Amino acid sequence: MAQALLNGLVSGLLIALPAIALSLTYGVLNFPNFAIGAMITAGAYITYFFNVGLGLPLVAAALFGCLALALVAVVVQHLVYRPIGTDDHITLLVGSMGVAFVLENLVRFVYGAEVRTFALSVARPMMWQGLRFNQEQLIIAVVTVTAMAVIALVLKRTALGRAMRAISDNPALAEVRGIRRHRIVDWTWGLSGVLTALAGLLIAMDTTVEPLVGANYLVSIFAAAVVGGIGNPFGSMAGGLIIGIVEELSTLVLPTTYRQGVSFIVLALVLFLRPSGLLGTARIKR
Amino acid sequence: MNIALQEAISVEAISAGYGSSDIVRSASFNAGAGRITTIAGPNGAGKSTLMKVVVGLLRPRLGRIMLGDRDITRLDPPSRAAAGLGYVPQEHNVFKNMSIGENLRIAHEFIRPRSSVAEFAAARDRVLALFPDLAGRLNGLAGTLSGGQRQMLAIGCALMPSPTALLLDEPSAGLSPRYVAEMLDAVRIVNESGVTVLMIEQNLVEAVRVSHDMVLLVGGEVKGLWLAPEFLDDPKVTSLFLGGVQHDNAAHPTREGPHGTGTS
Repeated sequence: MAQALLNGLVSGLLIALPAIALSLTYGVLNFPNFAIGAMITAGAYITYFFNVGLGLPLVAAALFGCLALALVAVVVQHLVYRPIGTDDHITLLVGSMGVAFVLENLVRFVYGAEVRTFALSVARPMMWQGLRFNQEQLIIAVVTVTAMAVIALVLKRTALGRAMRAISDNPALAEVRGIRRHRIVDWTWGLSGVLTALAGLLIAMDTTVEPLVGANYLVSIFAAAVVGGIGNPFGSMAGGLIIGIVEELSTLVLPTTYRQGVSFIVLALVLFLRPSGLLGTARIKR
Repeated sequence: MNIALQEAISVEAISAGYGSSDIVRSASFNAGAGRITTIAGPNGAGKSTLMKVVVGLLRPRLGRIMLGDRDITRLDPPSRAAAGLGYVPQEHNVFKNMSIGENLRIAHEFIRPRSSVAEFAAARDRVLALFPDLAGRLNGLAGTLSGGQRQMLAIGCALMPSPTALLLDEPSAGLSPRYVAEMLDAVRIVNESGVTVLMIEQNLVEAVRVSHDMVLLVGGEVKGLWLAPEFLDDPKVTSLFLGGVQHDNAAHPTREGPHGTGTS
């Protein structure tokens, strides 16, 4: 039980990262980015390219992977989302599905469908108070918690964060207050790219590098973001942890193939009791 | 009729609307520098549409907007704000999920990006002196404020970057009678500190009390300009408000003595 809780906590942190990215772009652009799964995959492969392809140490590869995926996200914004405009949410959503197809198949085109792993030496799992945790879990916990702290700091304490929250709150007023929306949107995609690349690296490190590595997490990520109140990054942190822990605990009584079904049930329950998500009511609509 | 010697905002032959039809048709008027100019008119006259064109939220189909002697027609809202235009929308005019302090900060930091911490603090102190109700609750969410306090915060935010001109879309909308006078007195105080004011106001008695000049907009067209104290006495105004049908007393609001100092 305690072991399952620990594992759930770690996989929750893993889900929270892209869920935060999803919430950030949802907040400033008002559409759910369905390409988030493919972005995770792309992030994993780009990092794999720097790590195995170019032989860089994993930390340096991760750094380049983050920058590269941030760049990809900004380029996609300019090529796909910006021409569609900010008011047409459904077209943006469908556009993001198209982006997902293109990213996923680019990866297949370059690397094929075979399963790969990062150049990371295997370490013996560590024991603490009767709980077993491995090197990957420790890295996941440290990286995700640090990334979340940085994001929280950016949102609460910087001009960029205030501008992102202002646009999410009231885009027309933000413009009148001198905030250049397109610039902030680019920065938001950049942040989203960094977070998803990190998630891609960590997920692939925990499992393997393969073309569906991100798509497999899509349901859990959306469930986490919506449970927390989509558009609210702090809600997504909580949502990720809840979904991760519940999914992991469910494996104690259900076959593991039902994991995603369990996150749907949690999602349905939360929406039934609190339609705007757990932290959704903290946001004032009128 | 050109009342003021110097124009702060010139609206020149503006035609604008949403889609194919124009809501505002070839509207021209000036808001004099250092004065309070109020746009009056019945519901649906196109007052808010015209205001959105001046702020840059709506592109005009034809015409030109001048701020001083600078043509700002092609500038987007952030650039107009940087050029010295402050705007208070009628509703949704504060960031509800941000604190009052954050609202004030964000109103300043993007329009005056190179200003120092001291300048920001001075701007905030000025606003809090004007609206002391806000001072004690800088950490509260703006969305929890009452209607009147929200309006104060919205005007305060527009004043943070020290604009040369302030545009107000119905500052008294939705306020209790006590707040209406208080709000318009605050507008007067802001104006006396040298800020040109252009506002839309439905409460004509209060508008005439604080304004210098009145512009009448009916059916998207400017029907004339008046010095504020003369506005309500003109039978033409009454008839235009009622769409050309003259009623004896229905349209004459009860009125206090003219406080306006609309001489030039």
